[in-house]
Amino acid sequence: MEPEPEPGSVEVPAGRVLSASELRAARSRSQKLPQRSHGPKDFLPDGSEAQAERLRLCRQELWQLLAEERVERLGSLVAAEWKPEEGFVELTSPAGKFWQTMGYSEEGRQRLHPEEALYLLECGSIQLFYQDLPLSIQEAYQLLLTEDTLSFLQYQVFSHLKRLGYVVRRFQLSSVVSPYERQLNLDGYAQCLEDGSGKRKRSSSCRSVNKKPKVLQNSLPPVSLAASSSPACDQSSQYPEEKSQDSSPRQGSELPLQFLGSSEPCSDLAREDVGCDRESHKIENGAKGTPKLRWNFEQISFPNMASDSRHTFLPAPAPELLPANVIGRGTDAESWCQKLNQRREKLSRRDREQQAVVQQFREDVNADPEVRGCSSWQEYKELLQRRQTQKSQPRPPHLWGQSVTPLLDPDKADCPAAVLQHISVLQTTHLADGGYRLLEKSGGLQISFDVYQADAVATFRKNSPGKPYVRMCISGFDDPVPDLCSLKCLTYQSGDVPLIFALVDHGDISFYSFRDFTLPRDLGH
Amino acid sequence: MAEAVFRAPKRKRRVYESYESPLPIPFGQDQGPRKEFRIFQAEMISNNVVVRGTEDMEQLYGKGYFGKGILSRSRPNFTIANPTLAARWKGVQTDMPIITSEKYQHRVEWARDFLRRQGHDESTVQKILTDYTEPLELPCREEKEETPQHEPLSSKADSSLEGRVEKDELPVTPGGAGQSDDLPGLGTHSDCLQEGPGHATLAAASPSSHNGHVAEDPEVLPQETLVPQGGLWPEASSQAAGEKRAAHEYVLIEEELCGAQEEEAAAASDEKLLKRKKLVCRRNPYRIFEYLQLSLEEAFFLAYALGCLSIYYEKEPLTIVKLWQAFTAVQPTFRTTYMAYHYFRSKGWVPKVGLKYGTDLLLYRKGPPFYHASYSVIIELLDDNYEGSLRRPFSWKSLAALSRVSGNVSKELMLCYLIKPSTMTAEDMETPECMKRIQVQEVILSRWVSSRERSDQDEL
Repeated sequence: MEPEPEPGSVEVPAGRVLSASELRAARSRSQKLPQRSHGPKDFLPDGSEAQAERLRLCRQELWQLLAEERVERLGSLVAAEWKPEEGFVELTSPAGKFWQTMGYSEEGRQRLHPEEALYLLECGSIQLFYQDLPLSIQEAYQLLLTEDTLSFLQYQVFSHLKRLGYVVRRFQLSSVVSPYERQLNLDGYAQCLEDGSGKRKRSSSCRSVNKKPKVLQNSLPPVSLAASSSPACDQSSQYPEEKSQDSSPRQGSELPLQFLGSSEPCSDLAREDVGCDRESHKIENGAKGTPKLRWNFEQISFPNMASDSRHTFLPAPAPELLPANVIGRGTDAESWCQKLNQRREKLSRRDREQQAVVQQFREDVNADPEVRGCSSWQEYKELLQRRQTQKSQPRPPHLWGQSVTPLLDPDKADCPAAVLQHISVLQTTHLADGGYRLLEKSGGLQISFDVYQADAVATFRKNSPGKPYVRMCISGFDDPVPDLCSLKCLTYQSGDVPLIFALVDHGDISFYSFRDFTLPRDLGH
Repeated sequence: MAEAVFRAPKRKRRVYESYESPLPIPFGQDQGPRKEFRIFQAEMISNNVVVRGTEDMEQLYGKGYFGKGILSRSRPNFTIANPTLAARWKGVQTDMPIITSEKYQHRVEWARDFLRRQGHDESTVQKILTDYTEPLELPCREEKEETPQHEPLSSKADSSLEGRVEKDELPVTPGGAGQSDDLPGLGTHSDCLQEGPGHATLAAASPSSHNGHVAEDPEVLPQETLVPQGGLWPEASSQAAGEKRAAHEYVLIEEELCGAQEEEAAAASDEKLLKRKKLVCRRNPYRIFEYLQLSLEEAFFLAYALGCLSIYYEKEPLTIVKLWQAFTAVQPTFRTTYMAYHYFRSKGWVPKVGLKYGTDLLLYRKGPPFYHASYSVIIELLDDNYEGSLRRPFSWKSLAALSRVSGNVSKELMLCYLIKPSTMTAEDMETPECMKRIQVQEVILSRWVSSRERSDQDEL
């Protein structure tokens, strides 16, 4: 069949016009792709000729495939022109079937984004002109993928997804509901308004369908929503689901807890009072002793055998301070000093390390206020004795007599659920929380595309595309992994659409998703 | 929703045990009077937390799967019978471990070596061992029943005795002199314990402490045979080893009936073999004690969250604040990992070390015997601005590798970020109370396969 020369494009024939026999040959060409596997994969060059030959063959096949001339009917090619200043491609003849999912209208003209034009060019759907000359695919790659338009990585991801059948549209931040709207739960309403303005937005109908289950869950919020001008209120209403889950076991356990609470703590206190009574007296005594000093220490000289300000004359102690059968006498200890080794103790490294280890676990005995409160050895020993007996009680003082006590009260261990409730002290947060204050901090990463499921093609409408299936962020394999900050920011932008990170490594693309999660509390024991 | 869906944990195909309780504390809802709230005891031994009491070990591992036996893969079952032997003799009603005669001979040899080193001459050694290891008709039931009455916390005498012997046992004593004498001899046992004697590791703690018991053997053994029920040693050693250890360990040994030829036995079928063999009850002359080692997070959780564990350092119980500080000194990332541990525990999951999968924690539903771990968790501590020095900075490459590994063992990779308010000072962090102000962000990382996600694969 002869290509029909169209009046408009006949002046500039793109490529060769084929003769009948050439066309015939092209049509009966083998459609089979060359076999891709050549035995087991090699992972490292081993320098052998066999390997080099295998590699050469592979390359040759690939080049052959790329160099193959593709035959298209000129009439079915849509003509389009690349406008570098504006950064889009404008169609100069009516669009084909691709218009259903690609391109956009502006100022009454049909336009394509560069990635769409390039993809359609590769598919053989359009003929692209620049300065009235048709572009080869290679030229188009060079001209269309620039810093101002989009990166090669982005195009690779775009064409990969397109070839799999997905509908891929550019992501526009403005199409995402503003935080304020989201706070007020007005997004559906906002969408309605924006739809009216004729811009490309998600349909309100579609959204409301998606919203329905949420509304049902939110059986509580209407009340709190009314008062949702304060952000604190809003936070609580944002996760009604979790809240209701949380509150139900709590309510369930509240009765027994209260019941216990009315009787137990009192008896507890009473018991502790009895136990601590003597103790607290002692502490008071001690505490009284320390602040107002009964002695003037400047005038009392303490025995000191060390070489600094030596004081070796020890007067006889007052007899009333001594036990009955002990006799005290004064003495001069000067002669002892010669016998004492007064050099500073030198610890070996091992000993010092040992000491450091011990220090980690040992509290200085002088730091203990109760010990400081003891005014004599007898009291101290009594204290030790008391502590010894207390150790075996259900509330040993080293756990319960301190500023920080265990979270769980042994008397309140009613059931596993109640115990877990008691010891849950850390708060759960979500990726979308507080995202609005991070909007400017996405760390260079941004969402590039909205991706819709392939089966939506038939019913897809560009002016009301509905909620995307996922959104794509594109990054090189060597780029840094997004930190929590950019993750939160991007997740917030993406709203309730899952965010996927596409990583491009020399043509290979892999996708990862970071999704918000809350581990459910497991009570099914 | 953009939230990751919860995938049901995978049940293990075969479960060999029944589920006791989620936590090692008595619950008030149980029928009957409230059981006593038991405070378990653990010791710090060269920066490790070790539980020695047999009953404590059982409770802590059995209820909540805390810790790991130092001589076992997970549950401390070193002293329990060899499973193949137990299966062969399953008709025999006993709670004594059944061991092979080779294993028993090893024990006898070790005891012999030890006695020789004590300077006994060959004939005395032989006599002691022969007396001690002679076959017994039946284990002394009374004694077995008697031992549980030794309550760990009941009497002062107990704990003082315990303390006395403990001092000998601790591998790191301030002096360190008495211990070094024991060490050279330990080389012979190192193959069995798989740990060099000189190391101040936990595994080494067991042989050295073990020597502590055997050290008293020579004096005691002869008396012991004369007065089976009496003697000072059984008391002391049982207290030393923990609380409720029987004085002697009775074992059932599978032995040849009478001088059967080695070759014959090998050629004979299993049933024949069984006929030729019998079980003999003897005392074990060389006991090896297994302890339960708790990770610092587990130990702190038991002490702080549940208040059911006292951790002693050289006889002194440590307070919660002290533990918080000491554990941080021992393991600088302790606070970060503990907060995550606490968070997951308080949700009713069982976190265990994730070392084998290259992560910080593994999360099990109920416990490792029942379910496969569902999540492999990486923990990071960040500040208010979601910044902080990461414990584990990732590149896409390393993240991809980790994700692939987790996927292949059907676990989900979870990043657990702990977010600390900027108003929280270093001083606030000095007490575990700071956890109340920490926020937790869980993120599931998963691979998204573009061709598999497409909904209408058949049509196209």
